[in-house]
Amino acid sequence: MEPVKADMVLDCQGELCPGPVIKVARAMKTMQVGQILEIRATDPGSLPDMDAWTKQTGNELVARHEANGVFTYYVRRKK
Amino acid sequence: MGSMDPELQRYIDQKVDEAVAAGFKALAAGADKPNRMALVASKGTLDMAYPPLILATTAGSLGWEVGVFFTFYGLDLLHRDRIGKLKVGPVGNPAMPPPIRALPWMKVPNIVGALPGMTAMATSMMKSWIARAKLPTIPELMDIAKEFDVSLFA
Repeated sequence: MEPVKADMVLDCQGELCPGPVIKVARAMKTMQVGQILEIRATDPGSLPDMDAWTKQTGNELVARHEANGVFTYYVRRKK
Repeated sequence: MGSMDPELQRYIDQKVDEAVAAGFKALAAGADKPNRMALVASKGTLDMAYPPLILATTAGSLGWEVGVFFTFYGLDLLHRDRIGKLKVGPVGNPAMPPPIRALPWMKVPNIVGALPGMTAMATSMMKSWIARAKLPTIPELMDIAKEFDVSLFA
């Protein structure tokens, strides 16, 4: 898988739902349209959370992968 | 009754078409309306302050229109000093987890929980759980709610 270049990285490891999603929304507000945010989380609840958040807000979940219990998501701001 | 007057038929068809078109337009316009959430914050203990604020900030993060109505003890959440001094008591709180992990059957009996200092102990226990779970504090959650344009009513 080719690496995705992120404009900003958010470390939410150890945080529980809805912590990561709220942080993503706040970080997205400071970013420009088209930029990519990388999020690292350990909460398995973040899987459905990121899906739902990107779908409901109209942003794009570019890629995600998991390694050693750490989930990494790449979200692009679409609007 | 015979067939309808063609003029009348035409008139009726036209009016029905217009009404249906207007109805669809209203439906389409309504489809863009944002989701809304209304919450009530009526409790002032440290544990019960969380549910409305967590729901409000989560819905806010999804772009929903959120309104929180503060009343009774929840008004403390709007007070600049009291919001940082929320407490939780062990008395009559059967949901409070047992304090000693080695003795999980021994919950704090009400008569012990009524002693002076026990509320402070329960509060500091809860604060340490909150910190361990990396949850935001109540003042932080209120700031986040304001960031997401959550309306606060009292």
